[in-house]
Amino acid sequence: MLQSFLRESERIRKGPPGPQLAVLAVFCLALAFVPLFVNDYWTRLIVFVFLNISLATAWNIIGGITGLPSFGHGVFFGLGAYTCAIMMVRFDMPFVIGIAAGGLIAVLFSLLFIPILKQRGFYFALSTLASMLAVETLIDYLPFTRGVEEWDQGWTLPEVMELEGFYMLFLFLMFLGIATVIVLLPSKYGMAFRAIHKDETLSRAMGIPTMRYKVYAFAISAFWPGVLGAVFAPFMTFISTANMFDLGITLNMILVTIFGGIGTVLGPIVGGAMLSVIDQLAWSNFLELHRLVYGLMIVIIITYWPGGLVSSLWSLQRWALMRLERKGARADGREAHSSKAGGDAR
Amino acid sequence: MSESDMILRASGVSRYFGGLKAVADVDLNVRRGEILGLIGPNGAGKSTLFNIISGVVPPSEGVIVLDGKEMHNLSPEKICAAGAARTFQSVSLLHGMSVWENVHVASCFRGTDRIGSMPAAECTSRALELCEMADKADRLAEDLTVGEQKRVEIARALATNPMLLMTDEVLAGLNATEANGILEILRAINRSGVTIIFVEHDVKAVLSLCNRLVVLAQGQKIAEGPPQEVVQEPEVIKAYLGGRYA
Repeated sequence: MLQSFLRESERIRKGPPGPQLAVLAVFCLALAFVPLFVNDYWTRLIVFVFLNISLATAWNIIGGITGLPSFGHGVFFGLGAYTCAIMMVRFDMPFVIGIAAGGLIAVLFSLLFIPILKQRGFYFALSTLASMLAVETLIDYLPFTRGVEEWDQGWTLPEVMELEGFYMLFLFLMFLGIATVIVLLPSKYGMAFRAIHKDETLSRAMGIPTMRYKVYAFAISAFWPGVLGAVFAPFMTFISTANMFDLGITLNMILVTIFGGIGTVLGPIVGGAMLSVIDQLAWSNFLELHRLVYGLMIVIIITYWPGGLVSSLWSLQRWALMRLERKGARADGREAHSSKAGGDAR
Repeated sequence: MSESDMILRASGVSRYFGGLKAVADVDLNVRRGEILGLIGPNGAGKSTLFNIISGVVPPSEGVIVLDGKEMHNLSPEKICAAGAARTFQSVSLLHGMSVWENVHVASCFRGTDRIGSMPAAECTSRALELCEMADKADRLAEDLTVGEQKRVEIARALATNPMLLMTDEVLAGLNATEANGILEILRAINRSGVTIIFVEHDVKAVLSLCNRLVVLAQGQKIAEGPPQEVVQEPEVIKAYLGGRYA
């Protein structure tokens, strides 16, 4: 029973996207009923878990799969939020237009990074970080975005729906974000992203236009944070550069991905869920030392499981399968042995 | 010999690294369908010439024409799509990806099909079968023996659908059986219509495989012609073994 479950799960994990999407859909459908059983505090908390998973999943496309560590990815989240706020408040547009505009502006803005995409490693990380700080300063400065010259330095958004509505919307976006990665990975695009990650010179020698595919990867991974930011703005009702362009948002995307398992579909999901649990435990048990405990646990886990939680889970799965198979084989061997024991004088 | 019989024509190709002339004014003509051996002592400029043809380094001077199209200004990916594929001196595969994936990436980005159009997956399977790696398609690239890795490299180059395949010391580090296996595969690839430039140190292998030889020494072409004749030339023996053997 356990054996067939383990084997089946391994088969789905390594198999084509169809069954993976089905499992994801069932899982998300089940999650849709959760608000019926928990209070608003937990519903709100789970929304943040969805958001963390979705943001990490998007970061994983450029940082994990394509291997370009963007340290300024929060800029797309912030831009999405500001775009939505400006559309809804300044131009009186409906929420849906705000969401679409958020994603669109994030993608368009990501195209400005094309020169930076030539860089690698630390240089890329630093350039993206610097770009985010530059955008934050710009937004703080411009009157159009309610920066320095307007008294409230931010935007207050109209209420668009109840908490349950946001819960469903974030759940749906998480589903779409993860589904994007599941479909992308085995496709021509995903193959190119992974090849670029492993060896860019080699990728070019086998005919991959690496620059163009890095732009694709960056644009896709900028789109989802833009959309998520646009939905997050009315969820929070008040946004400012201090909370929307917080460096912590970017760091969290990276942390969740590495913690769960960088470059994998499941990594950001497991990482997002587990980090939230750890965070909650640290809050409730060590209120004063919360950050210390949280930080220590992260350092310990990254040190001892550099492949992330999923790689440990998979090792455990392989180990369990091997044990079960060996046990099964021994049982078969005993049976075979006893059946021919009579005639066989060994 | 008419222009259309030439698949690759490199004329006056030079490459300087600072003051060093790695390749100096080399002319290289490759005939359609042949297996051309490119030999020379270490540092003769074979790999640099390869890198120039495949676009990894641009030539300082000279013109390279592949199948009638100038390509010395093109990027490596465009040259690959135009039909010139290569393997690397040190085996380079994509680690963490399976044999099938390693070859399939190349199929996905191959240039126009020269033998009718087929889906990428079929192209991958054919390349793997030709290189006798189909049964190991699910293995991770880094788990293979060196001989198997070299075959995957050839399969990958083949999956790009080349008209010209350039192998760079593909026999290095292999035992006799593995080397013979690779030579057989290269012959089969050649029979299927692919022209091959074969860079190798092992003179015996070169003699058994190639129709024609070009010898480089110190960045210059010192001999060209039928293999058996070329290796007898005093100039070539001198370059390989030193002046007193010539």
